Amino acid sequence: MVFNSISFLGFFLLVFAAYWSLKAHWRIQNTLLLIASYLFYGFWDWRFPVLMAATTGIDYLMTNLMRWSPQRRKAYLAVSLVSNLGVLFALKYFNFFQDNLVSALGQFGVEVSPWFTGVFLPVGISFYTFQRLTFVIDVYREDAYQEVGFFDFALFVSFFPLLLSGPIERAKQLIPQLLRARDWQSSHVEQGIWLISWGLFKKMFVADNLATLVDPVFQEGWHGSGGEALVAIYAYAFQIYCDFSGYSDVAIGLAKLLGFDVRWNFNLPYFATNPSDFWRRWHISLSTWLRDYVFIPMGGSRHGEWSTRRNLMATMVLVGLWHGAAWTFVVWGAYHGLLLIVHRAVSPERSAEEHPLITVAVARAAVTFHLICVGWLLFRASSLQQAADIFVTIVSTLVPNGISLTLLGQLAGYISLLLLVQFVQRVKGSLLVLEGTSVPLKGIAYGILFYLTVLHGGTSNSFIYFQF
Amino acid sequence: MKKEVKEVVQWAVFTASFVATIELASRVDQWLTYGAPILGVYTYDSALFTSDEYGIRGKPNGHYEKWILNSSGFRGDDVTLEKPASSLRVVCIGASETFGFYEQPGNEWPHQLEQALLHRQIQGEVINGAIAGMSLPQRIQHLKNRLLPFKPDVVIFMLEYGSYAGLTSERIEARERAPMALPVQHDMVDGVKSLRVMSRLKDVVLPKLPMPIQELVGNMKRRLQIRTIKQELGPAYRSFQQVQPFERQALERDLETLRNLAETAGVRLILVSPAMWFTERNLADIVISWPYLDESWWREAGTVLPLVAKAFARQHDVFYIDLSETMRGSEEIYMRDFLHFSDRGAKLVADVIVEQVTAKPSFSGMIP
Repeated sequence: MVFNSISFLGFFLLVFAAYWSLKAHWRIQNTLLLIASYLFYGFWDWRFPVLMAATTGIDYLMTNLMRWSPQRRKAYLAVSLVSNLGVLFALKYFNFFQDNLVSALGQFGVEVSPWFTGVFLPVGISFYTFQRLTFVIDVYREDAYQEVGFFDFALFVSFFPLLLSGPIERAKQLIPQLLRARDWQSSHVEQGIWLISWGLFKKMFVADNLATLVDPVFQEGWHGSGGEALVAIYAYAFQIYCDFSGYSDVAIGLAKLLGFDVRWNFNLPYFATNPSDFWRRWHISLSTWLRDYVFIPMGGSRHGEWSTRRNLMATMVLVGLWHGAAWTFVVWGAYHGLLLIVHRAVSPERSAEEHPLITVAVARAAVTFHLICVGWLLFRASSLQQAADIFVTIVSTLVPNGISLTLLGQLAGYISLLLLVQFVQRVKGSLLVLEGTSVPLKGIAYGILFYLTVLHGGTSNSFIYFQF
Repeated sequence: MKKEVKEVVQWAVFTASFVATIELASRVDQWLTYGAPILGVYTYDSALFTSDEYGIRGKPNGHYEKWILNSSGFRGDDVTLEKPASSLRVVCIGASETFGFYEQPGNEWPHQLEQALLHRQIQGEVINGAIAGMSLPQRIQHLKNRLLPFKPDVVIFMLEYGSYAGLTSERIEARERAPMALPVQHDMVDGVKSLRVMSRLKDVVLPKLPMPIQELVGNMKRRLQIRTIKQELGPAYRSFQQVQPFERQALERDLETLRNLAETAGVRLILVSPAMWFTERNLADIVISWPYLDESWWREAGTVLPLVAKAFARQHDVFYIDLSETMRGSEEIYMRDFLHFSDRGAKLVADVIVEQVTAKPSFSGMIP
């Protein structure tokens, strides 16, 4: 059951109606949300909620033990980290390490059969594991928390709008909202409906249609032109952005309809003027998580330039590995680590402020966008060899053959409205572009989104980030 | 009170601008995709058909969404009055299943027949003269006035029995006297009445709904249609439970007219049986198109009328191709109504016709 399905619409409407009919009883609302969240997750596979409940129970126990026996909290943290990261490793990375180990041993003439195969990977496990860890680590750090009951904690972990692909919400942000009554606010509802509409447009119209330009190039045995490959990479840059940020927008919008405020996950990332700026705008909930729970604890930028570079590289490789167990993701992470390190070296001021000259700012954004696109080639390719082959095809055949105007036209057709709205968002300084506009304009805007999404939207029943 | 009124006005303005936008978007979309007019009527009937002194005909160069007609008002490539040298010219006539209502463009069976002929190294030119909704007597007039001038070598005539359904002898006579009218397509009529975007939404959204909801919507629509029909017809609703002698005679009379026409024009006539597959489901639905008839009429017609056609063919030495046995039993070759062909079904029809025609010595002699 995915957000862009009719069955989810039916599910959400039922939950929404029941939820607000219990407005006066926020604890019962929480129980309803918890049941709905486990049901929602169980639609994928009955084993997923069972595993989530078990690991949630362990974390809840460990955090309570930390409170009861503060002197042993390091040991309880270790148990929690081992159980969380152990499950994540076993389900997500075990095959990767096993295959590489078997292959490495084979290089030395040692023939070993894989020990274990056929592990199931629960959708969303990387997201809810990281979300849960924010609570565990904050309790370990003795960041103040009011007492949280088990079921409220379980709801924090499983809250269905955020469960499958985030945003990875902080315990500090979400738990206090779970422990008080939520008010029905028409502004919340209006914002929620806009975010859901805009998110579905990005996912179904832009991302799903762009997939038709991308997928053929990345298929086994593709032998096309450099122009076709280049258009596919540009298309993928927008496909992955719209697929993931579209999901995030819908998730935030659904949470808003239920009376919750969830942090933004994307802030016009392709307007970034340097790699550092890009990571302040792209998958914000993950990049800030890694900043707060990995980069800074490793020393951050406090111990000199070389130490900072090492920490940056380690953090970005971890970002790559978080996305999946494959060398392409590791190299993608390392590539971004390198971009950040080079940017630190060449750019004396690391201010987030834009260059006052618009032409310079635009040129920087264009260069940054193309650097990011090189990364997307690594990210999308099924192997490093495929990425290299496509790169060579572009370099060797782009100039003599050029780019098909039809492909460029298709690309422009799918992204032009997105770019127009993002330009308005940029100028207005708000992602909620319809706020404060006239009623007829709202009707026109929703009409256009509805038409393109419903009548020209793709039919994919998955989101790219579900695999991570 | 003032606030409530303001809210109502705001919602009304929002709804109006929303609906106007999606309707305008739909019209611009149809203009860009199909060259449809932004303003004015754009429906299946208005875009594809017109009338002349002989009644309904295809509009030259008419096009509506996926259906495109040539300069003579037929489906397929342009044809000249002069037959190309050393080529077999074939005319196909039928109703919606020959016109190619549901198949992808180029997959309607007459077009696939041309491909199948080519596959056997037979230079053939197939003209699809079918118009969806035409009755059998209307088709005979259509053949006489609009298709025989193209001097075909062969006419393939796909039969259907709905033409005789529930017509009393008086009604048959009245219809034969009256000029041909545009066919009544309930869905198309609905389309004319509503906004353009509504019919597009129905086509896109309905198939995306979960199957139980689709069935629920379908059943509700069906019940509503049947209730309306019942009110309109009163006791005449499903009043025909058996094939009547005058219906049988009308079929024989039409076949005789057709044979005489072909003989006079020096054209070889091939009759092709209908390939409807009657199931409990489509028999229950068929009443919407033929409200006078009971399911029992169709069950009997499915046996009796093919026997009439077959006996006629045998008696007058007309080549008769029976599709019913070949087509029955495979869901993939039909659309969900089991009345119209899928792309695969249309190919099977074409293959069966080519196989049987080329196996017949009297026909294979005509092949250039």
